[in-house]
Amino acid sequence: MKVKKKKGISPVIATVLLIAMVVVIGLIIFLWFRGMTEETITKFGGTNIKLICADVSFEASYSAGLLSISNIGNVPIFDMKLKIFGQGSHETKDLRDLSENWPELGLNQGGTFSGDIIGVESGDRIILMPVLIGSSEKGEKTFMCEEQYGYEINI
Amino acid sequence: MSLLVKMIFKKNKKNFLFSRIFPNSRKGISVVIGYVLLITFAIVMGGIIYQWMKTYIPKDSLECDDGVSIFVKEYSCNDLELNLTLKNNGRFDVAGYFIHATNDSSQELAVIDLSQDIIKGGDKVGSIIRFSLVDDNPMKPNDEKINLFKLSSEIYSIEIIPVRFQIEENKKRLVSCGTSKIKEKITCISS
Repeated sequence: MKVKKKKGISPVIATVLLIAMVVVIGLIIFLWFRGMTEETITKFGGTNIKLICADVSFEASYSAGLLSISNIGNVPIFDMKLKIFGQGSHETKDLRDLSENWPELGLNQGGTFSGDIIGVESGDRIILMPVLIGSSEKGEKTFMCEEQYGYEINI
Repeated sequence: MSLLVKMIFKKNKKNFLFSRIFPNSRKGISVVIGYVLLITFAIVMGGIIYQWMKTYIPKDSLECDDGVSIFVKEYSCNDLELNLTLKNNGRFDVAGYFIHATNDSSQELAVIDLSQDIIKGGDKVGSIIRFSLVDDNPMKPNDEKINLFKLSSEIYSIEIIPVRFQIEENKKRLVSCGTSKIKEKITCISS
């Protein structure tokens, strides 16, 4: 009766191959997962920009069509979004579209802005939401801070 | 059909069909290899999650020390020449300040930058008036500094925010002390 010999790879090589396969599969899953999640934007040496929003500090006032903003904190404000609340509705506008006086690079520490803005008279209150600029893998990107970090003005 | 039955029930341990229909012995990967795979997978997943969560670790924000304070001890104005005497009444040294003004009593916020109008007592660096060009805090507690401005227009009030150098993460950083902002009614008009 003939007995056939079983042949196979060495257990050491099998282990190495298995580990390599797991690492490769792990990398594939990581790259795929990363593509599905939102891109991380960082500022000031790797801190998530969402955390930086809490450090933004500014003051604002509005009177007779003139909006004034003063950056009294240490975080540069690149842009500003205006959430205008009117009778049962609201709309969001970019300050760069409403005024030409906004500095191109935004407001640095101690920076101020003053300019006439139109299109907000119909509202009864405005919330100014700072827009910061940070770094991501695809380069510089802007990020609008949440309403809780905004500044409310009654018109 | 009979041939098929014979193939299935042929007494041979290595009969492929038999072993598939009647699996007597189940084989699997070695326990050791299983452990290796599990641990490796856990390490890889941990690395992925660490990279993602790393950015959410909060860092200390850049804040001014409590107790920084300067005030306008006295001022004088003569034909749009404003003479300001500032005094450090806080507990920390100060490097300079931001200064903005209003030109109308109805304005709530001072936005007119006066740093460009300074002619004596300080140096304009960006929009900051620095008491020294060296990265230091030369205005010690109880020190007084006199600054002279040649204004380009009339002003109604001024707002001053002190700034100072602080060591943050082993680096010297210029910090704006917004919480120590002062507002002073100063009327300076042309004669």
